[in-house]
Amino acid sequence: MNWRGGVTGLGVAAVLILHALPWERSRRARPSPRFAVPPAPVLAVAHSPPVHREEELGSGVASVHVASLCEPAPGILAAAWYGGSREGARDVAVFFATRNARGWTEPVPLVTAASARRELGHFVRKVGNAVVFADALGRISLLYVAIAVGGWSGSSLCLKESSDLGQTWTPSRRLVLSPFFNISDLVKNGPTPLVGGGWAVPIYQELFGKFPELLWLAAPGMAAPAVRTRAFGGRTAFQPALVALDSQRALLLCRTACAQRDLFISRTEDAGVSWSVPQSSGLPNSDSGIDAVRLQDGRLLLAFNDSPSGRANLRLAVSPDYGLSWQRGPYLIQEADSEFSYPFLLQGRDGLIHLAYTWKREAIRVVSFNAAWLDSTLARDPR
Amino acid sequence: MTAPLGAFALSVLVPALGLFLILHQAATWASRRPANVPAGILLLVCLILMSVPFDGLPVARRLAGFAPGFSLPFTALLLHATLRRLGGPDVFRPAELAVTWRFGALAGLVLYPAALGLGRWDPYTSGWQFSALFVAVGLVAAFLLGRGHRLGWVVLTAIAAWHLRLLESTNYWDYLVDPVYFLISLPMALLGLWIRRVRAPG
Repeated sequence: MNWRGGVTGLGVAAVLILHALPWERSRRARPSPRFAVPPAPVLAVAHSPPVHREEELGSGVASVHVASLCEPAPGILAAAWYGGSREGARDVAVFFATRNARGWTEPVPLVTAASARRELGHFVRKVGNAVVFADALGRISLLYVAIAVGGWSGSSLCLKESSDLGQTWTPSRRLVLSPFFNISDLVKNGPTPLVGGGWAVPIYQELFGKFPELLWLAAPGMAAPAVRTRAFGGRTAFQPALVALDSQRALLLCRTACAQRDLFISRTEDAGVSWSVPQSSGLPNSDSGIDAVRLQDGRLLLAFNDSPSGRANLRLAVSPDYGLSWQRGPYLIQEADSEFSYPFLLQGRDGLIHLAYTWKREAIRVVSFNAAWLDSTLARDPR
Repeated sequence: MTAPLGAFALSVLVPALGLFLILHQAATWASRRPANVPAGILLLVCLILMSVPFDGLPVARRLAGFAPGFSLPFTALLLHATLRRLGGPDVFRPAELAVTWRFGALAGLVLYPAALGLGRWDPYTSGWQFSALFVAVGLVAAFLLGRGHRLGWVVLTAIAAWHLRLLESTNYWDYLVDPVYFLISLPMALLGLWIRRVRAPG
């Protein structure tokens, strides 16, 4: 064999070995991700008197939208939302605030287009939707949308983390999740933790199709720190809320993306590997954001605009049977020709339920209530 | 700055090569003969232009805002075209060029429509861990290498780069194909097939 043949042989061997190495790695990988379900019911809360309070978070800007909440430590809440002169403006910043026993701290702009440009080292024209979530150790993650070109469909997702309750943050890191210029991945609702660490974050695309996806962040069994999988494609429903029922079963509740103005539900029984064809929940959706959580008592709680054509009310609904049927609950707010939108739900470790929403695009409001208050309103208006 | 060094270098090199080729071609068309601009100097100017900070960011990194990385075959094609204009050696032989265009067109046709939401199957997911993609590309690359085809070496470079995480993406697809490569490959591949058909003995 001449030297040319030897080099070719080495090349063939190298290319086969390098393509086979991931197989060896996958053989040794840990089991596939499983959803971590909420802890057992807190009995003390079930017997407490009804609690209901509402607070407002202002950012000193003309327009705010898309709030999210997390609980990095018992009794401490963190919130993120975006605000600026208007939705999609270049002066939009992601704001951050925390709440302790004394109340909410003054919101601070955490990410701007300029700071994202500086940290990411590439062009960012504007920023948008942001979601905060915290692990059991109190580490806060902020997943936000950065846009280099175009509107929302030109977005990509970036991640920042904080280990000191938001005092300091790591520089932003862009997640490459799409092969087509890495655009059109967005986030609106909070993630579900995974057994053994990591997250399943419900995200979505809205470029050519509008459909839900899952972002697996630092997930056990995944080959990369950030992996995206699809629930279903097309243009039926998007902007999902992920609700885990147990380690394998979960629901995606989605905003409509088609002419049928319904809230859609898709189900998995294999921890997100496959999803059912989306079905109408029987509740309306006006092409507006929704959120849902599984309460500590096992019921599902949904926050939505109860209208096929507008965002003039915000209402709760409860499902005792994993989303098969829904009982409408109280209106949190309603006013003709107004907008109350993009709810975000969180149940704290103490059982208190927190709902953040956009109030007329002028403020972020946080409603906190307990199961006793919810049950009392359901009993008053049993529809 | 969070991009790996390899991604950063490619994000400057690839647009610089692209700009060089456009300007060189424009000069050739304008003078209706091979450009008498010293190609080396033009390339250097393009590299500097792409590296110069403008409003705090190098021009190339502004482009990186909406093109996070370029694939290895596309980079090799640009290097090939650049070296030709510099009077250097060919990266690809003529027949290999045609196959490299077809590779980009085929990979893009498999990847992009489905990855952008056409149907439930998302081929992009197969690029994060071992899958049929690795089997297929590995076998094709081994076949090409066995035939002495230089695209095989480019694919070997791509899988090595993926293991070393040289690009910002951790998905193997992004090392094999990118949208710019696909959008150029598709007409080039179709043109190549048409020319072959026209030239085929009737």
